[in-house]
Amino acid sequence: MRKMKKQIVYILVVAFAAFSFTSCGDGPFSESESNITIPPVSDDPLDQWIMDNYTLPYNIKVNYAWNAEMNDPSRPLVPAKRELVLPFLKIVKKVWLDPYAEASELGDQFMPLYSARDLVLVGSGSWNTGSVTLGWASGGYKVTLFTVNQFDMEKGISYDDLKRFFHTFHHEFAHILNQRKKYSADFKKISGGYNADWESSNDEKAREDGFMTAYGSSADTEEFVEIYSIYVTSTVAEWDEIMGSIRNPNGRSLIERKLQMVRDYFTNSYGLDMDKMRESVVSAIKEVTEGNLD
Amino acid sequence: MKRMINKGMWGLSLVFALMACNPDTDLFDQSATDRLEEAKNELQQTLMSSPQGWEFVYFTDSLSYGGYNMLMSFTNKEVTVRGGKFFSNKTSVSPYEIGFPQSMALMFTGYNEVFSVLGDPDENDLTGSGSALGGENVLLWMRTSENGDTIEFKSQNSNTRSKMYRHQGSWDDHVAKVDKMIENFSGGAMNRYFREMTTADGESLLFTGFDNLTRTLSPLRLQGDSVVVETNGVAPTEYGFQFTKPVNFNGHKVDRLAYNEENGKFNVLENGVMVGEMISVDEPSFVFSGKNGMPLNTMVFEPKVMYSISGASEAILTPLDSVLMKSYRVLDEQYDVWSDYYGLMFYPMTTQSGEHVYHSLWMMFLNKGDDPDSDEDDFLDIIAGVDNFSGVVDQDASRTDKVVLTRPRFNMWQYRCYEDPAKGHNLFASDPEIKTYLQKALEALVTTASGTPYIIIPSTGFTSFTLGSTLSNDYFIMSYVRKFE
Repeated sequence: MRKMKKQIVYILVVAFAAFSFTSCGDGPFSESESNITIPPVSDDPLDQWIMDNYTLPYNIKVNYAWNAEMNDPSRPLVPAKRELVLPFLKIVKKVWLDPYAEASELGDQFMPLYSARDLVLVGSGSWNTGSVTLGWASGGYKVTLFTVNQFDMEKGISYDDLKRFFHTFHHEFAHILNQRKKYSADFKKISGGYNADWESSNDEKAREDGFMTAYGSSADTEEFVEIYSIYVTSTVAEWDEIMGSIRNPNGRSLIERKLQMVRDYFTNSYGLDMDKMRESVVSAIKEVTEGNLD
Repeated sequence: MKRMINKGMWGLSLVFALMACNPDTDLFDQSATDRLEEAKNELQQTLMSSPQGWEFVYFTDSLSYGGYNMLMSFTNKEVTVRGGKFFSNKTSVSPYEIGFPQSMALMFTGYNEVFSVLGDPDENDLTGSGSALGGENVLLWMRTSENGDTIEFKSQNSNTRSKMYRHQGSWDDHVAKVDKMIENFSGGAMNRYFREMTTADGESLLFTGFDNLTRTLSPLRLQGDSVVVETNGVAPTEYGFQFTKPVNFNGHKVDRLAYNEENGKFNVLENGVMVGEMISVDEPSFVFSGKNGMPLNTMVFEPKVMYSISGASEAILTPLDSVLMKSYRVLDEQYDVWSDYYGLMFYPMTTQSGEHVYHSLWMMFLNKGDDPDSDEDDFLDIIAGVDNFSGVVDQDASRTDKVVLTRPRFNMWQYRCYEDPAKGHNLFASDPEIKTYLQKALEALVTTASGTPYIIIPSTGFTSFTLGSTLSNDYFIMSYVRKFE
């Protein structure tokens, strides 16, 4: 009995000590207070426009100020010029965001569901040896767009420059869509001979071999998005000219087979009609070159 | 054993009970968030506290570039930056923030027409496409002096240190003085490519020429039979120049040069104390050698080896570049040439009748789709140029690293240009001005009627050669392209 009493006392003391150790003190976090502070909405007109035209309707955050955490400090890059940000974003809305709403069964809901969440704007190009990167997609959620400082409406932007830029943008966005929903492994089987050393080739030669572009010949993932992005940024006449220039019938046939797979993928996976998409994009590019950004 | 365990458990319980309600001991009075916010406010208040702003002596990259001088003033959201002649005398206002990307940093969050140009790889007034001058957008704060008059930063990527100094006085005066200092370093008593730092005991250290674009000024040291170029740079100030990193010389760590108004030379300073002088010299006191001791003046003009001119001082580069740009515009219409692959070449050839070697200056272009490594389409690879240059390359026997480029008799350069019968014309016929531009380029290389002597400085591995003028500050660089078999 004495022994039992001793044991009970002993257990109680240990329990009391443990409880005291763990419960003492009012920690810095109490349930009634949140430590998360939500920054107030900026009263800057540019930020307001972005909120009304990108963030609220499309769930896209636009980072136009230089963000040290979102850009590679080892590359020579510069921030976007503030006065060029708004016209640039209007152009991007016109040639990228709006066409998806027009061409997809989901309409206005397409971009809120599938768009990149973060758009990062950089003023200069990202230079490599022998090439310039105009844009890249990362992690399925972020797209970085370079050369914003070249979109100076007062100096004018050529049709070719616009087409080249949006070819890149649609190319990068297509990567994001592919990351969300995979395309069939059969695509890669249509043409073999993908080769990482694409820079030693050129587009003309690549097409004879059945690839959309020299860059597309580097990997099936690039070929897929090259076919898509070139198709939707080319007029009917421009596309026909590309296909008509291919002398090798086998090369032409390979591209056409791949195009059909790309078309089916977008229809089945995203309810997106590529011809309607092309019509919207091409018409938007034309309007921008005429100075119409709205 | 059981007793020991029991006693141990009692002891532990006692310890827990005693520890239980002791409050954590805070090392700081404030939370980490508050401390960061306070540091940020302190830096911002310091930046805003100077009515006449700050002189920023900005060393962009210690490997390839030197330093640039600009003035800055800060409000709570924006920075105003003013540059001198180098920056086209612009003033630009842009946003900034103080944040914590790695540690506390001053971040230029919007494009500034003065500051950002140093890091802009797109074509701008200073550099061609694809290159920049080492500028960055984030400067990590290192320290502020006790009196708050000096703030030290470190570039986020290159780790190069730079300082802001509290400025007093007129911005116009400052900019004018800095511009004048650059002129002082390139003209008068300093008007030579080669410079020497000397001390009273007769020791000397040779330096290459000052490049106003890249701001490099590199010492050359003899190591055995080789000469090593020790990369360094300078930034101009009102009083002289600061080195990117101290120069070890004759037991001293030289950090600055100060202009001597009386003799037009520069005093060499270590921590503010004069330890020597920097002067211009016509020629280095030692002779550079070629590969395996071969004479350089023979080596650079070996038959069948082709070099491109890959860089030059402004006086030489401007007319050379104008020839290339003009030719490119004409040729692009005719032959759809690549703008990314063109250059001015020294192209040695041999005649059929013997082994006599000609040195020719050619413009080279490739048409799109051409293979740069193939000789099959050479017709369009080398378009136009000046023939028989070498009759006018005098290899100085007194120094095996010296050549003299002279003009032909009566200044009669011989021009040649490939003709395309299918097009019905050639480059010279399409644009006669091309010859005029070529003439200007040649005059920039050979500045006097009696010729321009150059000392040849080889790079490590002999892949490129800098030819420094002994008559002026000018230089050009020949880089190896290929050897024809």
